[in-house]
Amino acid sequence: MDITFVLAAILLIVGLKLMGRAATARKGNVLSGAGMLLAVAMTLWIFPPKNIWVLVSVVIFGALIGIWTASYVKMTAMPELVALFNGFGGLASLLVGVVEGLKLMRTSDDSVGTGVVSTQVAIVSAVIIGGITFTGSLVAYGKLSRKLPSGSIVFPFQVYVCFVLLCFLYWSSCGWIVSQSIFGFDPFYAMIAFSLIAGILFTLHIGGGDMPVVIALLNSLSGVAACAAGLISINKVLIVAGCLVGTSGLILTLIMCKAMNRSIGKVLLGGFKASEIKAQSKSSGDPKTMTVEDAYFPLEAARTVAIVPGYGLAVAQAQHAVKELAQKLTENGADVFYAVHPVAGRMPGHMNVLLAEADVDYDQLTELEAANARFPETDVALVVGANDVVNPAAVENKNSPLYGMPILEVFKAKTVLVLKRGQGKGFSGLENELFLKDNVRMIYGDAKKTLTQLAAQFKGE
Amino acid sequence: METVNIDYGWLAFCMVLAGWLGFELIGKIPSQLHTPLMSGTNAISGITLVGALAALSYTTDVIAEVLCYVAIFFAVINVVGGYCVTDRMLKMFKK
Repeated sequence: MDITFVLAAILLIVGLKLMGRAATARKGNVLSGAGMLLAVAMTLWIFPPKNIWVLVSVVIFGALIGIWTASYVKMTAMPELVALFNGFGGLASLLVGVVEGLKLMRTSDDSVGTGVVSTQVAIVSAVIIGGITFTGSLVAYGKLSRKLPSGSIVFPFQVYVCFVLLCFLYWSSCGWIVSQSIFGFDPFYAMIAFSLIAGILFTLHIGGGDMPVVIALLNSLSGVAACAAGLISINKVLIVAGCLVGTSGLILTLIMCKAMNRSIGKVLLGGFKASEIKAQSKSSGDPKTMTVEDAYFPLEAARTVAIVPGYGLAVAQAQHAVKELAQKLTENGADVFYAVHPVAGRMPGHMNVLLAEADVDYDQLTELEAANARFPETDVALVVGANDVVNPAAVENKNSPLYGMPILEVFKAKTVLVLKRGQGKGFSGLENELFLKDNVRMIYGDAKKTLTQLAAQFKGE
Repeated sequence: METVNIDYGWLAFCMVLAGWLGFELIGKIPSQLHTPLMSGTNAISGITLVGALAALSYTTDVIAEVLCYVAIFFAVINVVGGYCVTDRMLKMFKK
């Protein structure tokens, strides 16, 4: 029967491998799902449930909710959905830890040997990491879905409170392992409570813009929690899959940090420091604006048009309007390409999903380096709700916190039209020097409306 | 379940290998696939379902049993929802 678990692990691994290429990704996902199914079926065979009908109804109920949510969620709401699902996984690991802990406390009053201590350490890990993943993901979900204020939430002495909490967490977990009570409380329950509070405290102060990194990190943690749950009862497939997700989530977090020019430490400590924002160059003058009617002329004359979609496009849900305009431009004889930054949208790679949903031709999507090579010959670059990813400060201003971040160099295009909701700043809270350049015109207003109006002008001809 | 004769060295070896595999597999993935990948690996982390199912079979009291069912319920949402939504995204990429 061990061989079945090996087979399940192979399916999970090969599935993950295939998911790394666009052409095979869907097959990879199915394979990994098959591996999961095999592992579950095998577990049920080895550990037959006492009450099969209760189990079946619980599973069907959960599966229906999962399928329903997955089928009807908007593609723009993907980040919060991943956060929520991730929280559920964390909760499950936490509960497995709790159940095993309760069982251990009931059976072993006297036998304290190495086997028991190692099991206890695994239980402690599952409870703490699962708990942090659970409440941390819920906070991330709340911030991303705007049920909580999306900015950084701080209160006095936050760092000290976090530190004290960590001490309590350490104290209660050690206390449970050496079986001592803390002020008459059973340390096991204290540990559960502390880990749940820790998840909230560690994410509350992180701003909405950094949330994608936090989700990736929590995703990694939920893998570690699953691995810890596997270590309790030495469940090999659980250990292997948990490790796999743990490290792949970690590397994904680091890749994302690099694309956003943030260090993981800065993200966890929360936001740019106020002093850094002041250090940037003083801006002079106001951005030049343009009406939708006037914008028609450069677009009509353009031979090459680059469309640079960003977060604002996701918020305005303007992906279909963008596609419509692109079609009109193509019919007008222009060569249109989409320049997609790795972190465009609400999470890395999100823009590709949104454009795919709008049926945008895969060949038209251009990645960062290829797009930058094309900008000097581009007549019009149409920036739709992107901000930080086109900020030239990243290449020009050594004092800027963005300096060094790979950006789309749209300022090299002959004309740049920026569609923007208002005069607000990007995630980084920085002024964008792009908007002040001579070849840049701003069109303020709702991106979807502006795009539809632009497309309508082509129709009128 | 007996947890007496566990070869911890062997276990650590397996964990290091699996972890290293995770690094290798994800390191070279194009940025366009990051969102589906995150939701896909998220679904895999729901494998803790297996732990909950195993724990259910040897629970002796009602509280533990209820907790197991709650764990199974949420893990199933995580697994099924995660795989379905990943498939929905990747289906659009294929077109």
